[in-house]
Amino acid sequence: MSATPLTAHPAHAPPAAAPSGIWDWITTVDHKKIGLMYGVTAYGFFLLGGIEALVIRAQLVKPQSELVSAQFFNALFTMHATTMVFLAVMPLSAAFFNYIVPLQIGARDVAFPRLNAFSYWLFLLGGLLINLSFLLGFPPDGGWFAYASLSERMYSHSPAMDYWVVGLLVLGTASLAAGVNFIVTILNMRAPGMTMMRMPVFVWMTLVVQFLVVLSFPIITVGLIELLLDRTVGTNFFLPLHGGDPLLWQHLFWLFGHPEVYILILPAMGMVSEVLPTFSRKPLFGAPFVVFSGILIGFLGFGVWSHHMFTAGLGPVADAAFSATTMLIGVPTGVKIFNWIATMWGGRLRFTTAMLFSVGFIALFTIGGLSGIMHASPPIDLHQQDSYFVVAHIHYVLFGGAIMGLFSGIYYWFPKVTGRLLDEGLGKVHFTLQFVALNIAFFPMHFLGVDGMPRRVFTYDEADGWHLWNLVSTVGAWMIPIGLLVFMYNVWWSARRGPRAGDDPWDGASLEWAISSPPPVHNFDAIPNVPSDRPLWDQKYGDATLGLDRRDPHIHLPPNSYRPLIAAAGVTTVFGAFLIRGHDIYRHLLDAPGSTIQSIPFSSLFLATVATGVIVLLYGLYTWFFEPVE
Amino acid sequence: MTDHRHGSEPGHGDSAGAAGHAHPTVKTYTGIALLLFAITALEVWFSVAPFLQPPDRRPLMIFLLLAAATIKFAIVVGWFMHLKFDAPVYRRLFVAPLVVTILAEGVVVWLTQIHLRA
Amino acid sequence: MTTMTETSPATAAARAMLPEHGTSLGVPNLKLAFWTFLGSECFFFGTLVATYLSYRGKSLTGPYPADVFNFAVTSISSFVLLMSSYLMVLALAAVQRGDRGKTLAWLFGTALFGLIFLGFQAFEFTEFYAKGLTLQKNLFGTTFFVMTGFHGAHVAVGVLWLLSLFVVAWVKGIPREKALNVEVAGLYWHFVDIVWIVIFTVVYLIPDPSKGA
Repeated sequence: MSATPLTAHPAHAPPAAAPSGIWDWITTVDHKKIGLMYGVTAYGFFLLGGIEALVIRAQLVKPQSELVSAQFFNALFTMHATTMVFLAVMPLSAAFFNYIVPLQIGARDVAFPRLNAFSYWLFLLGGLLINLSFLLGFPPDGGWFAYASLSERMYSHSPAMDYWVVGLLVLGTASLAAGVNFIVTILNMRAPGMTMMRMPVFVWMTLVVQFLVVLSFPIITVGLIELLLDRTVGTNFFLPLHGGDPLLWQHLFWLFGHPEVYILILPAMGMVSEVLPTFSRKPLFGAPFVVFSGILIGFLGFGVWSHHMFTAGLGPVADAAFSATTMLIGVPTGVKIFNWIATMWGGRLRFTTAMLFSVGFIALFTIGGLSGIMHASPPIDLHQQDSYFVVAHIHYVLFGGAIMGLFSGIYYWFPKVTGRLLDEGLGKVHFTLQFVALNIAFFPMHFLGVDGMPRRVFTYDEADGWHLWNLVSTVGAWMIPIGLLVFMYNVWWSARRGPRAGDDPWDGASLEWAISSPPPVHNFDAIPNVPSDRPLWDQKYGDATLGLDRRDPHIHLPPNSYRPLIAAAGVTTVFGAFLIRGHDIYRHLLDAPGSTIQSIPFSSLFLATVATGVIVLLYGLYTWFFEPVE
Repeated sequence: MTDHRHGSEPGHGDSAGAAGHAHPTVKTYTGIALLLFAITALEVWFSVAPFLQPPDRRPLMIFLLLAAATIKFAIVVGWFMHLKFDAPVYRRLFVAPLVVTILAEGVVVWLTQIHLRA
Repeated sequence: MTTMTETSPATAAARAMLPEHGTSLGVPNLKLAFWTFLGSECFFFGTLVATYLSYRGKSLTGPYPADVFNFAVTSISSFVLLMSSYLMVLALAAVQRGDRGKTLAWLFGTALFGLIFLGFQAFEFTEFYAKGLTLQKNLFGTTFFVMTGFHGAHVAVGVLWLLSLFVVAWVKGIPREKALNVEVAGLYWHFVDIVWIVIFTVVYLIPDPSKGA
């Protein structure tokens, strides 16, 4: 089985011959290294998704533009959304979960270090698999929601949507494994004295997110499997021809999809809840309310999904009920916003770059939240559905919200990770550029939406009257990378030449600031005793002691392992085999249009790939379970 | 690092594993198995019993079958899976998702059936 | 989820050997992970059952459930799976007592009953197929085969797991302090059993509204 807690093992010295270089990164089970790998990989995907967005905006800069084809435009908006949701924001948050959560709860690693590596490898392989479609000429083009029957084989012959389905199945497996891991880590690996209510709010939000992941991903997994079987085996799940109901796909997608929205935003809320108190030199105002609001959002998140489907015709009872729950879920969100503002009220504010991003988060997320509440009303939603107004809303919530929060986290924790401070001057240039640019890019979309511009159209006519605001929006969008270039230069320069940060550059309150920057491989020389919900402030300004000046005589760390990578490769191969099946069917349909899917035999390559994947997976798992962890 | 204690959360270690507390014995298990067998037999009988066959008795039959399944479910989870005797955290981790899934998926079924009937 | 404490009669010395030692909740990580996973599995099977129920009685063409179901066979196979859960608790009790002989017997028995269940399922699938019910034929075939197929796949994984434990117990024995490894396998096995309790009732016993032959 997976690694038992470190403390359960007999005393051991740190491994004598640690692997080095690239092999160390491939086999690492250290949560900090895995966190960095998540961060770097996700940032790469973030840039890729950003380039897709820039091409979208370039196409829309003028009426009747022919920069890209309508077909490729479909692929661009599908992959932009898919990439940003599953390959950028989620794993960027995962980078922080990995790096920060064990430090904040006073643990030496996560509960299952090898499972953690397994999650990362699945994420990387899933991300590569879904983007492989570009190289092979079949980028997914059915929207990030893949509505049936559009996503069914009869309307999407090519393997494009197979890449989307298979990629998401792999990514979902990664998220599920990570979810279980972090729930156990947070519930069961806390340092002595760290009761649940003493946990930093970021840890709390992580916990809520992991529950959302663990409970919502199985729903989309089943939906994806059903869609995949429809596409590759010829079942009838979402095919009206045989009595199936495409609406069921919408239900399954959004029953997952709405908790997913909170999966994207709650981590940023957690980060902001760390940054604001630090730079206001006050504890978070009403911290328990923020925590309980987060939990309430988690529960209610499962009861609002049909507000994505008001135009589907569910009937007045369902519409009224989901309208009510949606308005209800705005309450705990509003509570948080007031708590953040009240935290700053009367505080001794320090407007560092991290703080600016957090304050920017509050402002922009509030705008996105207000337009969200508008959609809770079915009569209004009927007008705004599928218009640019919704695009404006989602970008205020996810760019103005999640991405701003994540950058706040990056500026806040960069010194902990690298031991050096990011340049504050460049940071403020970055913040200003990004804040201004994203408002220029996304605010005009409200006007376009109200003026009737549908989302996902590849072009429009001069006579539509949408040219001006599209032009403005494109200019804003193209300003965003300028800020990002400043940021990347800042990281590149500061990581090597930046001023030394010391252990505690911001006068932080939580445990990660009590250890060196970067932290030692074992995190804590001694497991701390936690006297309150702001332990380090208690030690610095009170008479509490965390007991970190000792050093445990024996610190056991789990050895590196390449088994998680093998097992992840096995899982990816099994799912990936269905891409071969997709290509087989496509070739067959080109030769003999109209043939049924079940009449197309399974190719030996498909069967051999499945078998290989299963064998690799079993080999990976068995050697993993019987691998000595001492 | 082998013996740090968690001062603030007193009381440790009621995991299953260790013998010696209010755990079902083998004899209890046998009784439970017999009970499960009896309920299953009852269920099969419900589905064929003549007095439950008329269409107006359908709701009663469905109610009895669901009740029997729920009892079996609860017995296996409570006794065979020790949930009744184990640390409360397990109960929360399992029952909360179970309730949410029944509610949410129930609404999905309801809305889809309505939609297909329309 | 704020205060999770419980008391233990175990002595401190014995406690230090247990996998839950030194954890915040006083429970082993592995078991905590497993219950979390089972909560997740509730949603997995919940969605499969919801798909089946959404399309219950909505097939446009036969065969319908009443045309293919064989009550006697399914009742027996359900009973077999239920009793395998009984053997599973006996196996765990044997491991916890340190009774190696019974451990081997009951682990093997549980796996065997699982295999018998899978045999019944293979027989059932073949029968249904012969009667014209395929994955593609109608909504009933699609939803029935995929739901019960995923359940069967879970049983198959469980059988593989139990047989692996059997081999470990056979080759080097499973000491009492490693009983947790059998316990989590048992949790998985019982979960697969309760999923079948639901499927058996909802799919087989409650009459389907579609007209049979």
